[in-house]
Amino acid sequence: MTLQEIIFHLDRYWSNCGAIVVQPYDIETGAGTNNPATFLRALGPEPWFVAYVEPSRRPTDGRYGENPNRLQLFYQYQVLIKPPPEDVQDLYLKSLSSMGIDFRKHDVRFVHDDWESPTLGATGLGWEVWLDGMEITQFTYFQQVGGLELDPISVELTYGLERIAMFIQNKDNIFDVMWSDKLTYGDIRKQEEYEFSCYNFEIADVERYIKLFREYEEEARKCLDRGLVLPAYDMVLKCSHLFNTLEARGAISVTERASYIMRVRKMAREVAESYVESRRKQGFPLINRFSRL
Amino acid sequence: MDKTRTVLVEIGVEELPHEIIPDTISQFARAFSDNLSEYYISFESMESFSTPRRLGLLVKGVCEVQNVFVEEKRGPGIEKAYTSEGKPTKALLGFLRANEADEKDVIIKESNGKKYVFIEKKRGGEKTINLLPVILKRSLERINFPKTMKWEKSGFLFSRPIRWIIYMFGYEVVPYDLAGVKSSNFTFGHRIYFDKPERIKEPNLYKQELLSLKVIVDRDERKSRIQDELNSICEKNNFEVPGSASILLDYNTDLTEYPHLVLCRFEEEFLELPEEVLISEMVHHQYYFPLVEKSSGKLSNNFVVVSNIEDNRETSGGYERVLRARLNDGKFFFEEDKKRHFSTYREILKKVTFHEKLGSMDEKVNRIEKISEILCSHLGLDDREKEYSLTAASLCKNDLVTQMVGEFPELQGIMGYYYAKASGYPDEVAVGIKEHYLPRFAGDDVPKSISGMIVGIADKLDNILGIFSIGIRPRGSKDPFALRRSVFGIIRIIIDKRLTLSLRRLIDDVLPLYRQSTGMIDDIREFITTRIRSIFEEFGFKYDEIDATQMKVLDDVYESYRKLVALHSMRDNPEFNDLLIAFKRMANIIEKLEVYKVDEDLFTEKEEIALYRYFKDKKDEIERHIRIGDYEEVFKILSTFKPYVDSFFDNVLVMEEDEKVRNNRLSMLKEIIDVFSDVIDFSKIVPSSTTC
Repeated sequence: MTLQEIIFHLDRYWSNCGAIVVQPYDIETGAGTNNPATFLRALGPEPWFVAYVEPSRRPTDGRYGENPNRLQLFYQYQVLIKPPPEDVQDLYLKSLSSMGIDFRKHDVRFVHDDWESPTLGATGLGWEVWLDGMEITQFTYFQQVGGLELDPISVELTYGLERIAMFIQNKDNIFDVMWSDKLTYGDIRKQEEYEFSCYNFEIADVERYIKLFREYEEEARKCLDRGLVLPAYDMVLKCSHLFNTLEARGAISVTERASYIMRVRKMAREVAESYVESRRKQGFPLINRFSRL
Repeated sequence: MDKTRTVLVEIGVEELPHEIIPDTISQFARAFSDNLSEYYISFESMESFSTPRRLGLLVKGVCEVQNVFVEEKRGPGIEKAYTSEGKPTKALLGFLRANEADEKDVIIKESNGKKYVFIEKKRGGEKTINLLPVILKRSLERINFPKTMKWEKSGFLFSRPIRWIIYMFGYEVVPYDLAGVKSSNFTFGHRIYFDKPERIKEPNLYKQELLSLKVIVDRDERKSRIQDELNSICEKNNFEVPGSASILLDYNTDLTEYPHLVLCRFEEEFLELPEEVLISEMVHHQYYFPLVEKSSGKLSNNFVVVSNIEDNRETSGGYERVLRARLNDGKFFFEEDKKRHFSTYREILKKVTFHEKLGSMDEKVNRIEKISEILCSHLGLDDREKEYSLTAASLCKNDLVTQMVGEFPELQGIMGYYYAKASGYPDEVAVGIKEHYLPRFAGDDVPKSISGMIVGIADKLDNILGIFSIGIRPRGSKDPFALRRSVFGIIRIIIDKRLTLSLRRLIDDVLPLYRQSTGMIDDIREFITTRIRSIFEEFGFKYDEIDATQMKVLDDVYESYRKLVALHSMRDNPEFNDLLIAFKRMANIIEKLEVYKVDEDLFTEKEEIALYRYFKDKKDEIERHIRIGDYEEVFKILSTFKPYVDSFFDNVLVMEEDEKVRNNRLSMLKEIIDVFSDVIDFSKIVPSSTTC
């Protein structure tokens, strides 16, 4: 199965289960969780069921395209199920077995891992899913997002597409993975990995980034003051990515790090509260719009 | 003979965190058995079972009918229960009615010194099956988890979502509802081999029925299985499992329902990596068992993985691939890091911030070097020891900017050791780098090398003084720079290595390295002194013995500790404790009064003469033992004073009206107390509850 076939399969599988398949967000995100389709929709009482690919940028993980396992941008496959059905674990496992992964031949395990995102004020309990010892998915029952307790609870599934592709295709190097039946992952992305690693570690202008952070922070404030929650969240995402790049640049000390995280978290919290408020004013439109799984 | 049945409970869950499973099932079993007793339901035996996905209890010989028991209920006090004519009041009648009792059932008993009306009610005899639901409910509520979660709309909190519940009394299903799950007699077998629920046919054969579903519910059996298979692999191949991996037996037991062991290997070239790297990767990240060659004691390139499935022909490839990827990273970093001389990493420390207000790591190391130098001179080390220590100090943080430690931060210090050796530094320097982080936690080792000891103390002292100098004070649970642990480390090192060191003098000499602020040095001294007190309390010493011996702790921690140990060793003796109280009285009496030199001619009573004479006899001996630091002996001699002191206080009036006589007696007491004052401050002794 090529990488794109894996994506088609997951899209089809989850859509058959009742999920809406949306497109990745068009602003840099560090994880599928940051996409408003997860961060915002997890909040409040309206049900939700979504699946999507999310290109995730993590500047500190860049390795100039030389490490066979580490990338500064990789593709997560994100699923959010709110509320989760009783057989959610089985649903997840079937998404893999229906792809041809035979669990009688490969050891699948749910290994305790509680997940937290300090910038988003999100916490959850759950597992890393291991397949023959390799982590391929983060499976989390969110308890809090944006600092707010959740009701109903959401389950988030975050698949590591590169890892799954390497597993299925039996490849040791991500760049050798077949993206389509003609081109490899390296054909498409190796140069990008190199150039972005150079940029993130060596070139990104620290002063400018610090200034931009402040400016987007102010822009977020402006949006929130005018009751525009969704644009405000875009600004939060920009701040978050700026912070990640500053970290890769080595420009942030231990105490500064805590301060930046707090600034993003504060904005995220306000966005979360405003979002719930705005949905409430709209009468929580999706409250009866999802049929039971 | 009462009829009995078997109770079977199985709480089916999504995988529980492996570290908490043994404690969880033990809590559950205890709670269930306690609840059965609290409801007067007798049973013969209880077995408990656990896997990552289920908590099971099999209780045999449970009586079908609750035992009959007498319940005592207390009513109104006797004055409120009866009128002056002895007639029952409304209060009493109301009480009797509420408890379906008559006047003739009334018994008068005393409680808390007052007389009350009691009635004894015969209770019990209810059908057990009707009580089982509340018993399970209460048992589950009693389980404490470090973290809990919600997953469905009732908001029930548990460690992981509950997905099925078996609750049987004999063949009957006990109706029970929890978090949207209804009890039944259906279980789920091994996740991979059985996807449909299976009915339990015979509760007494729970273990066997689950085994046929490829689940080993008995934890001990599962653990033995892993241990036996591991032993067999080791015997066949002449391997053994290193002690550092012993925790894996429990972890793997709690990560599988149906364990099978798989022998795997990694490429021999990775054996060039430091053992700590290999073990850290295998044990801490992957839960793999490393294997050591019995013949050489060296780590082999083989390892064992515990799988949860039977057919492992293809899994070993996967297990090996994951490890290979990580070891490849490790190898790459190791080679890259060694390409430059270890000392050249010091330059890079200039770019790493230690703390915004305290500058870079390079500046920190500068301070560590200076403190180390001062420390070497205070301890009187020779030139060679000093050179090793200062070299180790200059290199001690270099590994923080290597790629290996960047990737595997838990290897800080350890990689410093390897890189120092690779760059040609002597062993004593390399070991010092590795050891300067010790002790990392209570119970950890202290540095064995001198350089490790010097740099260790210097680094920790810099943490404390540095953070205090920028105005931060650790408070309550807010100690983000782990300053308490730093003090703990310094004290452990001083005591373990029996160092004669004045912390007061060291701090004074080192202070110019920091920005000064008012009150800072007092705060530091107080912080350290208070922390030392806590540490000694943690060691098991009583707070009063600590207060009584730690007068000069900052001047010599080790000596103060020895005084404390000596005093503590005598406290079991009640007579000695009485004597301490007597001396405490003496110390309190003379505290505020002006005293003069003793004039033996002013003594009138034989008891005071005897006491003073005995004291004069012993004085030299006491002072000699204090000089050589033999505190046990000092306290032993002290204890011999008892008959004289007791006699004195029984027969002599200290606060005699005659000023001259009084002052003379006070002066004698002061002379006696003063001789011991370097060793013990009697005023701090507190009578314990065991003495009269």
